[in-house]
Amino acid sequence: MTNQAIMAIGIFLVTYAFIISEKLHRTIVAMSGGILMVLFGIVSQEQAIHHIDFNTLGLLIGMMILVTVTAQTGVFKYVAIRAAKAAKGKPIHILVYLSIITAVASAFLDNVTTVLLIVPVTFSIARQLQLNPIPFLISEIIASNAGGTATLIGDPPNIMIGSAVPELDFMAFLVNLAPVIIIIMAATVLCFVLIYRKQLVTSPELSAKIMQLNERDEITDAVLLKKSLSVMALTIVGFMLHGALQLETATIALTGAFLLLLLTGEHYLDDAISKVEWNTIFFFIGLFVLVSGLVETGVIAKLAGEAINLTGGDPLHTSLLILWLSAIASAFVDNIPFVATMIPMIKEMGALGITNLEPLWWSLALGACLGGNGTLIGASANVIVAGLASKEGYNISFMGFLKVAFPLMLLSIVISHLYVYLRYFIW
Amino acid sequence: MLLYTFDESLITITEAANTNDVTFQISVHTEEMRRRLKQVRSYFEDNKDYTDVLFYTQADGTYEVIVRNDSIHPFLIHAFRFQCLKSLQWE
Repeated sequence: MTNQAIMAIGIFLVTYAFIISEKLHRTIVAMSGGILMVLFGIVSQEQAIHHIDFNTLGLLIGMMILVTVTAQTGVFKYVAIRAAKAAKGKPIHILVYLSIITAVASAFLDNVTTVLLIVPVTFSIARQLQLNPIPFLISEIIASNAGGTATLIGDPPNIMIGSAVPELDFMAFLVNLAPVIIIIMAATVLCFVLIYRKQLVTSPELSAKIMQLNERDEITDAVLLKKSLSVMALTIVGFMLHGALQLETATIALTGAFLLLLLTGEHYLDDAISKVEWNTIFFFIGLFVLVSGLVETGVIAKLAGEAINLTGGDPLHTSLLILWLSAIASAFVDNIPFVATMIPMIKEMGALGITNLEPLWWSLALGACLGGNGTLIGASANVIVAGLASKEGYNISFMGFLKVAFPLMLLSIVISHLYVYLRYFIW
Repeated sequence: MLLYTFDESLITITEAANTNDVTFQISVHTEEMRRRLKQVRSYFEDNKDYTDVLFYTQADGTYEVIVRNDSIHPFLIHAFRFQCLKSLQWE
């Protein structure tokens, strides 16, 4: 191992330790770590910029703009209040309904987009019930990552895998991943009920207040609603067709965002741009550059290569190793750079003799997406929700999240393990 | 302390203090006042603070507004700005 590799590992570990300790804002820490990688010459500025995934950033920014404008119509509040009323104002039922809504929405929208929609109304419902919103928020984080795993457009790792492997189209993702995600969501929701049923108790009077809410009044602008939902639908269709159209997902998202701004007029421009979560965008940039140090010095490739050597090229063992390695790695390291490293490695394994790579791709998707549920920094949705909650005075601590989410993540990977084994190697 | 008055022919406001916030029960008597109150709501729902002022519309058309203690002055000031209040003064 070279001195530069050792230095890269050192900067990486110190940066992650600071992120976990929460002593400094995570964006400052991640950017500082990334800048150190460049200052110490581990990566050049050009290499650092090359490693920043502008497709992911563009996708996030585009969807944040779309969400900002669409949210002004009140449609998401309408849906959430309808769900709360369908749950008869009972907190644990509301948690289940909001989790399911989050999972379904995440399958068709980016996870970050989904949580940005659901979190504000969650605060509102939790306050009406005089409950701490954190159990709802944690459930929504986990549901968004699980739901996002079900489709090609649901989570950045899937988008990357879909882009890299043209034969894995939207329907292939749906047919192969949605069944196991339905099973995982059922198990996860059951666990939510067991974990939070005693904590989420309110009075019949407060539940009755939920039933008295008039959700129709949440729709603030019917014309804007029509424009927003039309553009949102077009954008989702665009995601479904992005491979055929040979367009990156960021292009689709930014096209949707600026088409909507074109239709609504410049009145919404400043507001939409200012509501982009720039802290999060810079956190991503810092992480990309930080991980680039490990990639450029060969640390990640060496680790992954050693892991693959362990299986001796056996497809079943390799699939399961990828599943677990991706899950554990994605719980602690951003899954996007990890998946970016694993994609060429899996392709290389095809060249080395593994004829059916499909189980490997599904294992990578399941591991990388579901693994993000393991820790508070495991996925972008986690970081966004924690940031929003912190701003509102509700601190989701790293350890507090870990205690609930890590066991649930392990459960989802055990289910995925059985699914991959049974579906691709037994049936 | 910030004191306010309102035109009872247009709007009725009652308030109840909680530990961390104040609940305002608001009933509007004209469509114009409903429009003004919606402007206040829109102002607070458009900012990046999700829990400062929470609006709930009841089935009977009245509003419950839960205002965090640190946001009461901004809420009253904007209610005055959008002419939901008749006067606002420091005492």
